[in-house]
Amino acid sequence: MIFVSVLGIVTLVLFARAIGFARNPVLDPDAARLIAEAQLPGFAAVDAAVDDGGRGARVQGRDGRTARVVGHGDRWVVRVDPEPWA
Amino acid sequence: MTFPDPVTIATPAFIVLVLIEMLAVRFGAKGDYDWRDSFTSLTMGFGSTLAAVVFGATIVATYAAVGRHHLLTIPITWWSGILCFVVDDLLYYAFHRSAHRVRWFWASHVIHHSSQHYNLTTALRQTWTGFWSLSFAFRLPLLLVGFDVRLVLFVAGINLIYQFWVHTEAVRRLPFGLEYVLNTPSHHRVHHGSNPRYLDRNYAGVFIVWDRLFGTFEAERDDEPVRYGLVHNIATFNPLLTATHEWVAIARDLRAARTWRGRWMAVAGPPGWSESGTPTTADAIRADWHTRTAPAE
Repeated sequence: MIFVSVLGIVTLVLFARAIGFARNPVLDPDAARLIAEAQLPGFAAVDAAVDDGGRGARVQGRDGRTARVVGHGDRWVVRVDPEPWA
Repeated sequence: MTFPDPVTIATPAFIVLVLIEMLAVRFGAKGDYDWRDSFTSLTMGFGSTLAAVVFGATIVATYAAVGRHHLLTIPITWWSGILCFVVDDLLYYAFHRSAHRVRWFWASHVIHHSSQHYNLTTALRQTWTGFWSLSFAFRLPLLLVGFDVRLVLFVAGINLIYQFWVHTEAVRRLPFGLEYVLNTPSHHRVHHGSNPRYLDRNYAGVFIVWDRLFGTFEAERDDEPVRYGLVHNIATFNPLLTATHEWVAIARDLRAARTWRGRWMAVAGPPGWSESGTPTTADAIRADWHTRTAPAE
């Protein structure tokens, strides 16, 4: 039963990958700002700098905070970056 | 009378429906998949079935022991089956609401919300630690009233199966007024949203009437797409980290707490409660959002 379940998971995952659900999108500054604002409550972006080949970005907030946007599969994860903006 | 295990019977259908949804999305239906996200969701589902095997006997034994103190003797028949299903769904609402409002319960339930995707594999992204969060305890009133333990387990399985198909973006809204009565894909999309408007809304399992009755209903708006996932999304596809990250966070907050109130709230307070910093509870986020947007609405 365990073997069948594992085989089922592997089959579905490989099928998803094979039919194209395997994107690694890249950011531009405008997208980075929108993502940071959407994921951090109350965050208003004023500037953004893309790095990591477009798979990450640092976003400056109006309140002095800096957000770090990191690629996570075909989505993004945002954290408050303890490093100041500049 | 013996009852089949509805979930075991339905599992092959789950797999076929996932395949159909993947293909439908590929050919233009609304929705999205990511193979890494699906790996995590499916592995979490597999792990939860193993956890059910490990803890299932203890849960059934607890149910049987509690059932011996029943107030009434309710026969197993068609009307008791319907009654049990409806009351079980009400208790599910209570469980689900608690799972979002009490961090100890949330530590298990957060797993189900940890995907930024919303598709049929998300339905299978289930906790491994529900036993420790005492989720089974919410069904004890059914046994104390007098419903047979076999019937309770059967309707619980039916409830779980119903909730599988609502995890899709491919179905917009149901016809014939069903949106007023049933939990639907539209209502449950709202539940998985991290938009301030949608946070901690639509706890229903099968009948959305509980949310309408208890003031937690929010309709999906076409002008505000649901942003799936958590207020603080996790940056891992590792199933073990996914299963344990909130428990680790509770331990960290317990260690850092300076007062007994802080320790209590780290365990039993709402998710996002903070002893020192800015709270990010659903209520705080919604209040802040209302403050910022009220004049515009």
